[in-house]
Amino acid sequence: MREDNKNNGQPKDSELVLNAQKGSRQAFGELVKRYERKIYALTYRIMRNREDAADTLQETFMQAYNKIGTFEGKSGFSTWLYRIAVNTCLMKKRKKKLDTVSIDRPLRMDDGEDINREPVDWSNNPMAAIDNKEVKKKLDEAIAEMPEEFRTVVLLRDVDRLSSREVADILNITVPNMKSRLHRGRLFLRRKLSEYFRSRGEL
Amino acid sequence: MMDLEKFYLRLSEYIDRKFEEEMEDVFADFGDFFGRDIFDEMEDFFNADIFEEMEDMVRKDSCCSTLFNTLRKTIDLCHEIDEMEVPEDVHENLFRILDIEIED
Repeated sequence: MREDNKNNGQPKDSELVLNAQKGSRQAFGELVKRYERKIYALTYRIMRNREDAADTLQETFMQAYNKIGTFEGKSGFSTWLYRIAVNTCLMKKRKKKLDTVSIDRPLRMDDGEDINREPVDWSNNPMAAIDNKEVKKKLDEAIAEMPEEFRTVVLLRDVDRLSSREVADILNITVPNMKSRLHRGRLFLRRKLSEYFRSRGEL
Repeated sequence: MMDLEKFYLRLSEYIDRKFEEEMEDVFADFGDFFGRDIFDEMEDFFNADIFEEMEDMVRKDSCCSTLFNTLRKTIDLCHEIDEMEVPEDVHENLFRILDIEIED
């Protein structure tokens, strides 16, 4: 995410970080305000419930506050913050055993799709308009159903639009590995949306 | 998984891998002159370009065309997914715990 220098008339992230490192609560508060919506959306979509999302949001910013002195600026502040948020979510999920999918499990996405069914192009269907709330709701549900190893990558790359390398850095994986998960995640979502349009008889 | 999806995955993973290797070589040669960010931006730009080239190549086949059209639409929809508001109580609690004055 390269928004650091694009805040019209507002202090850059790096300036706020520097002030926060010097002890300015106001500067840290500004960073919180700048990122709380994005981090909350991410944690909500990973944790899949309001309470855990709120807890994780708090833990993320608490950790960021406590560790801000060690932030060296090698990556952007947002990348650093996302890394804390993702790690906090994954730790919490492991603790609660909400998700039994092992991160080491080979990536598979067979889910019994009828391979004989002709793929149908719904991309120009008026129902697929980007301002259609129902489709967006369906997409959100599909994201929630995605296996963990795809979901985080898709959220960071396609929803929050971070660069491939930023996502790989946040997840501590290689770029090719990240892209491999991304392609599979996108295919998963595409298939879920295809099922949705098919079920509505829109095809 | 459909054969067409397998084909897409194999092809895109091959291109990504090759591209990454080549990009690392370019970075090794020119990384002292340009920041990593520039390379990341270029990589994303070229990747998008490659995606479009793949799309053009396979467009004549109706099944492939369908896959690409719907995949592209899926990505577009992800880009436009609704932002989420932080619930007021969560926001207030966060600022209270961090002991930061709320100045909305």
